[in-house]
Amino acid sequence: MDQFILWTVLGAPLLGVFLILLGAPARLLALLATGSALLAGLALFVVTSGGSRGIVDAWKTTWVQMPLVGRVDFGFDVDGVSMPLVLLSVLVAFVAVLFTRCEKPREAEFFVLLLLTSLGATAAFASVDVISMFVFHEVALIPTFILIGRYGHGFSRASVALRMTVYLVLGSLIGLVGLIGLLQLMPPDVRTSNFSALQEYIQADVGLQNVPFWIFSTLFLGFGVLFGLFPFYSWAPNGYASAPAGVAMIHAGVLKNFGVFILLKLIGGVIPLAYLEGVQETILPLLSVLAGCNILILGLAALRQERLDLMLGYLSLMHMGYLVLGILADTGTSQTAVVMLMFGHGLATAALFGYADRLRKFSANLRLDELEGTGVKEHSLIFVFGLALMASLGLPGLAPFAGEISLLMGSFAKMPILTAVAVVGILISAIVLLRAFRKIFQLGGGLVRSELSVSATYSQPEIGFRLGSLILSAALVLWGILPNTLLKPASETVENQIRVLNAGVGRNLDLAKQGGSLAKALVEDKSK
Amino acid sequence: MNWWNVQEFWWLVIGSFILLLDVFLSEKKGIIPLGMISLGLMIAALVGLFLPGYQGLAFEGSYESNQITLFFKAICVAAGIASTWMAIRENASKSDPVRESVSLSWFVIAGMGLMASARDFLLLFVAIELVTISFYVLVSLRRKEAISLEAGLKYLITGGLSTAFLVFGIALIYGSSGHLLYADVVSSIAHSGKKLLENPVFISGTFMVLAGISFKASLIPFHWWAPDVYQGAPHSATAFLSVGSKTAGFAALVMLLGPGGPLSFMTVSFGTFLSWIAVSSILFGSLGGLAQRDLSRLIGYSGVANAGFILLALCGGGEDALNAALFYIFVYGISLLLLMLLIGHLSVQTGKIQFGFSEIAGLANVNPTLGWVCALSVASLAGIPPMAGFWAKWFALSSAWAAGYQLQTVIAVIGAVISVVYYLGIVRNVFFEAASDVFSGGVRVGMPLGYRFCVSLLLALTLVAGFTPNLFVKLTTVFQ
Repeated sequence: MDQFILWTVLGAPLLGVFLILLGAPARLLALLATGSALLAGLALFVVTSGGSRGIVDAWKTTWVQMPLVGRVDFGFDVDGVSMPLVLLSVLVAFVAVLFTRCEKPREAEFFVLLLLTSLGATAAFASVDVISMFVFHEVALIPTFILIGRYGHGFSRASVALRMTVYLVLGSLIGLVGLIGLLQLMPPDVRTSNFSALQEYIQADVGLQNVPFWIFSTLFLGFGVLFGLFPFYSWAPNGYASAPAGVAMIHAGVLKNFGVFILLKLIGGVIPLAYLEGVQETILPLLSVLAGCNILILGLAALRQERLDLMLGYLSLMHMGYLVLGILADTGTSQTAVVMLMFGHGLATAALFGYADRLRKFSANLRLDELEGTGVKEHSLIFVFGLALMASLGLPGLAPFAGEISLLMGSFAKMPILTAVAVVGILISAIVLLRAFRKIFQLGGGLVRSELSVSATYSQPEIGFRLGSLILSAALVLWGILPNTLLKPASETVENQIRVLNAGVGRNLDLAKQGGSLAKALVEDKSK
Repeated sequence: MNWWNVQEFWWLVIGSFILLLDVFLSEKKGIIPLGMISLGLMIAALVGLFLPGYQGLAFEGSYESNQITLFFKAICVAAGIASTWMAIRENASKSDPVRESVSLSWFVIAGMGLMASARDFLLLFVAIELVTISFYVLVSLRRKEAISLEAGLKYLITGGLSTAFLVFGIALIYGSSGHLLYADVVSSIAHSGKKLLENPVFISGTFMVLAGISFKASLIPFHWWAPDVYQGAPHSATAFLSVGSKTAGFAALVMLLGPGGPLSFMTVSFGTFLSWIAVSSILFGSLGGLAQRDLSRLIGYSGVANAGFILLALCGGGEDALNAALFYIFVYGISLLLLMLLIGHLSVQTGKIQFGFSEIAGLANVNPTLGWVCALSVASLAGIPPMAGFWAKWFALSSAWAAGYQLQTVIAVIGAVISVVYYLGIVRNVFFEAASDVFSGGVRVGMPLGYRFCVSLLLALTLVAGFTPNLFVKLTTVFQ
């Protein structure tokens, strides 16, 4: 049963892609595919009780087997950390399709690419193997490039798309170097990138003290580019501003979290900060400064933006600073909070990008001064936009709140300064969002602007938009009221990882005391 | 083993037969009958490589046929098929068709096959000359175009220089070791203890041989000819050069540097040096390509970068490194052949000899399928998953890393990122720009049926190798 549900989550979009390529009506098929993936995703969430128990007999097979690179597994499973992200991915994908339309001749191409992008994200989160995760994430690369450059907004969209893609390739390849370094630590006969096996070998055989700190740094900086770690963020705001609404939703809400996700998996499970020699003194202070810059500088940058789409882009980057804080703090609570925050902020960010697109008919590039007071012409937006906005700034009762509060509580003991910065960041984001809300929905009252937008008077939103905003708002409220359905499994997974880790490290230290660890002996044996 | 078991012998016979046919067939008949006969025979030659046949040493150990040489030969013959086909189409509608390329292709593939199979420095030299001299003609076949003649002249001069290096190097190796057979050189290295490896004459000889072959593989610092020649040559010759000649060059290099080869000590003693050669090729090819606007020229630069990756993989030394390099050569070959077939086809249909960024602009608007073929082949060359190119780059980087060349791996990665800029530049022009003038006026860009089959086959291979790389990791085992 589990297997069937899991394969529906991944298979439905793929089937949709094939059927659209064979000539089936594109938007309808995309809706059906992402809709069934969403239903399957919800079912998976219920069946696995939020991911706290994985898939029964999860199927996997060997993808690549070569002594040089070891064994790469192809297979999918969920746990408390990946389940929320899979859920987020299928949720946002469905709403993104609901929110987007595309003119006839290229409709098929557009929806195929959109489906591939979201499928790549889902498969990456559900993968059991680090290299497979990486590969699935990259599947979205060319589709987003073409979606933004060909279907996006603004004159410079081609160069924006190019810059974004080059940045993402840069980040992933630097991350890949880190992964290669990590895999090469293992002797060839046991080398594998399967996540749980990797965890076991690195802890038991290689020994954490043998993981050089620069492997950690390369991984962090490389995957950091993928989520816009300061100062490698400049691709994101323009990229999201130029992207079609659906793409901005999927990328900013879901795909951008991949960098954090893989770091959380690696640092939480394979190379924990606390045991790496040299990291505490060298790279950790630097990374916390960078995270602080993400929060403060990009927050202030958001404050200065004159366009709504750029402003949302900067805000979504600012939230990444919180996630870095959670990873660096390296406690069970903070790591759990990161999972919850990725889910909550992902939803809110996707929702805001989706709603902002509705305002494009008043101002093509969403200039805030041109949008002044236009919101009243879009009655339907006021409530849902306000809700997503309140969620984004962490109002209790909405999805991101639980993550935010447990992040601050979990991190304060270890990183007091950065936590204080994060609190200031919340204030900044409140100012940014509330100012924008006031300008769009409250100032002017429509009287001032009535002559400007004769052609764009209030129109009843179409059914797709209503359904989509209902789903997003319901999700924000639902997981705001019941955060424990996500927090508990996530916390269980994280705590379990920490327990396994400590046991592994303890065993390794014992071995070391007995005169050299198993792996050291193995490695030395090999080198002879 | 008898002489009739040697494929190259038959290829030379067929080449001569086609040359005769060329002389006796009337000019008025054009290129099509001759070309089609040759094409059919060449496809048969490719199929023949996959049939069970003799494997082992022959001719007193100067020739060897094994799975690896068959693998190289298969890629070279595939490039020959593509090149012949492109040449037929380039000349089909001309009033004065150039038919020489049809028979020359046979001599080229025979030479390439011998390059892979040579186990004797003299045979290697003769094979390389057979390839190079035929290419002098193939490159400058558009004899009424200044740019083609310029390309031919450049290839002649640099080719002559490389020959000089090679033959001098062989002389020095012979002079110091007293042997020409690979196996004898290996055993004399072993018998001399460390003496031979400390002999400056022998070492200079090996470096000169390496230099001579680096010309063929367009590795730094012997890469200068590649962009100019690729740009000036007819597309059929460019495809042959960029896929076939490079594969053959690496075939020779693999036999020399690979496990058991006479120069295999270099991956140990001079491994760092080789890895820096590889890395500078990657950087040069990536940076130099940024400024290019002509597709053939760009492929020249990208070829330098990719040659660097293959050498980087080889630097690892040993069986794993060899497998990584073979996989890379295979993936690079099929992806590039795909792109070259597309460019050659478009160039013929639009009548534009020089095909650049501004000509290919808006292809996806004119014909979405061709646009996607272009995007996927370029994505594979750029090494973006899930295309096969990603696995190739990953294996190559892992091989270099495992051998301890960490810094070089990092620089190679930076080179790969830089090259992504121009690869995506092609996709950008194909997808985001308005259709260029060359497609106006009712130009048909749809492919003829056979061509379409060929392109689909290559595309399928690229995708299958991307999705199930495990099937291709031990590529050479398909040959019996």
